[in-house]
Amino acid sequence: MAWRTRIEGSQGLPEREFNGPVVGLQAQYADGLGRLGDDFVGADPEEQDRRLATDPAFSRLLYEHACEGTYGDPVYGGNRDRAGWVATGFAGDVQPRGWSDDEVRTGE
Amino acid sequence: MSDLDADAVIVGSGPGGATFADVLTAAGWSVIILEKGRNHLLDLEPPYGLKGEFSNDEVKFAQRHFLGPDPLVEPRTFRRTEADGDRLFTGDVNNLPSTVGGGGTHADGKLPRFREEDFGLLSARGPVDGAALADWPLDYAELEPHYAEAERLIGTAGEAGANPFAAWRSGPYPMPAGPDMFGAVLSAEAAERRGLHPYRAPTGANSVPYDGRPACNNCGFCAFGCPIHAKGDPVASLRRALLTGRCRLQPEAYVTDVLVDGTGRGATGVRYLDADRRPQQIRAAHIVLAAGAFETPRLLLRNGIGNSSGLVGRHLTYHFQTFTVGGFPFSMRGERGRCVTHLMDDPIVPGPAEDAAARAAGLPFIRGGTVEHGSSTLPIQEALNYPPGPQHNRSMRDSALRDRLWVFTMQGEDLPQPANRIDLDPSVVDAWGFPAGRVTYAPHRHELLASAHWAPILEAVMLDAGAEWSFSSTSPPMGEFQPGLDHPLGLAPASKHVMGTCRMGTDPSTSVVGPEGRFHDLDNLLCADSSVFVTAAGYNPTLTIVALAHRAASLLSGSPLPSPGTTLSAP
Repeated sequence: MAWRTRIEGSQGLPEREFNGPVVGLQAQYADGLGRLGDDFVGADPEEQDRRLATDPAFSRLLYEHACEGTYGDPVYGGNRDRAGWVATGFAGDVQPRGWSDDEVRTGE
Repeated sequence: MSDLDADAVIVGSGPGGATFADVLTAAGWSVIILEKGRNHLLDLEPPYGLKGEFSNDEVKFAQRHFLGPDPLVEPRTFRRTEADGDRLFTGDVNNLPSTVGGGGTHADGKLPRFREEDFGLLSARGPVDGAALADWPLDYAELEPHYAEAERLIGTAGEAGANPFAAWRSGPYPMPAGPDMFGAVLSAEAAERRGLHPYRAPTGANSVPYDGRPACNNCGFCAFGCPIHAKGDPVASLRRALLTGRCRLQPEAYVTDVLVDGTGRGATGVRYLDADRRPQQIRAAHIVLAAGAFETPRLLLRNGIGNSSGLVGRHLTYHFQTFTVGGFPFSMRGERGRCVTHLMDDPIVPGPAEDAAARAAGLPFIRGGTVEHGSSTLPIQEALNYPPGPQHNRSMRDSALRDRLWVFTMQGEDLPQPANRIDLDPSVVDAWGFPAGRVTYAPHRHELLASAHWAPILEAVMLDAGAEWSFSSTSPPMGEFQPGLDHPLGLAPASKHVMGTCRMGTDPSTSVVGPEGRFHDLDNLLCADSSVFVTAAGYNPTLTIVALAHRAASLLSGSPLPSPGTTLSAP
């Protein structure tokens, strides 16, 4: 229920509104993308930055999800070919091999 | 007995509840464990195999609340004092996992014992103005055999004699210490050069195969749950209890009421809502609360029981955390190993410099806490610490805040104060419609002074170890609160060490629970979590939770108490 509420919003359903209405991620994206404008993708970078700066709450949401997509586990569809991990030298999940005791101690 | 469902019902499956179940079932009792959270730990049918649902996945564990509780479903609220109004914040407040295994799934398994003095701080060093210091109603010698059993049952690796400040022990650790982490070797050598006493941390991660579970393979993300169950806390105890055939574990069971008989002196069972929110009832001869020091008082306050002292929820303590970070010119390999392989307890035992600082501030003493030598390992978390923009990629490649960072975390002793408490929020509710728990908490100036005293010492160690820069921050934050200004760790303490909210003692007017873990008000209601702690000490609480639960369950069931010097072997 938590994630349906978080994604879809509370939609007036009493079982989702025990602490009041919740605006879902779907609505936040629809509204936020609308405010950035249909021509956002084609705008030059300075103009893109200017528009993002006018909407700090949506920009923060975009940034958090961009970071999850770039540095999170590829199983979710982002970080393709572990590009975010390769670029930053992060080994990711090393199970089932793990690290040997020598690799732990020496850092080699 | 015929109308009873079990000899005992236990609310909560974390380290305290699991240990209680382990002892009672071994003594032949029948036990039902009710757990509010979901089960990702082990099969609930014979042969109770260990699940493979844990992985080193930052999205799942750190961003998506896989182990629960989801703050949208189970919000908590926070304020510093009543002057803040009803609340400053609603959401995640010191959330420990709500899942089968409880806080043990999240913990990276550091298992230090308290010291002798920690059980009698008022007599030894007190009193302190504004703090409700008290001695525990039991001493270290009474608890020592249970510490030894706790280490054996969980499976603890460590090095006896390595810590000059440690309390006496009746025997060695069940396993030798695991391999030292690369960064910890550097920071431990520097600490020794500066007169401090780092030692190999006692941990619940197996250094050798133990009790049918494998040795830890150093994968580095203990806090997400152990993917290979090399961490014994508390899966070992739960599985052992289930294997007796006398234990049933019911996940997604939200306990709403402790049922009390007509005399008001006896508990008869519990009522709970099952996964479909249907009310269910269990009748048992004994009821054991092990829901943690946040949820246990919340349940009692909602039910209006156990509180003739008026102290349920009060004397809430955390650890006042001081984080000293250092930036190194090379990778610290912080993601290799069991998260923390070294501790040092120097701040727990005041020396002349600490005594002078205390005197100058008009305090009888200052005590910090054990210092963890650790790292920073989460790339999404790191990325969110950098602003978006053209420098982002370079910042991530340089990784000054992850790969090249080393961190000392001091778990500073937090003095109990009556005004620091958990109560019921007047309007915020959880998804079941019950009032959210609310924290009211502000540190005593003792904690601030101890942190300010030790931070520069730890920064000097960090620079001596080879860091190019070092600075310290704390949780909760120091200084004045400015509305609208975000603190990176939030205003509430980030500590997951929550203690003290059903204080243990012999006098029913000044304590909630007696020395044997029974509530003063109800003969057959017991507590098996850190609610009973009288003081917070400067140590990770898990092993003491387990030792106290082991003692209370042994006394309750008449199980022979372990005697000092018992030969240790895997259970």
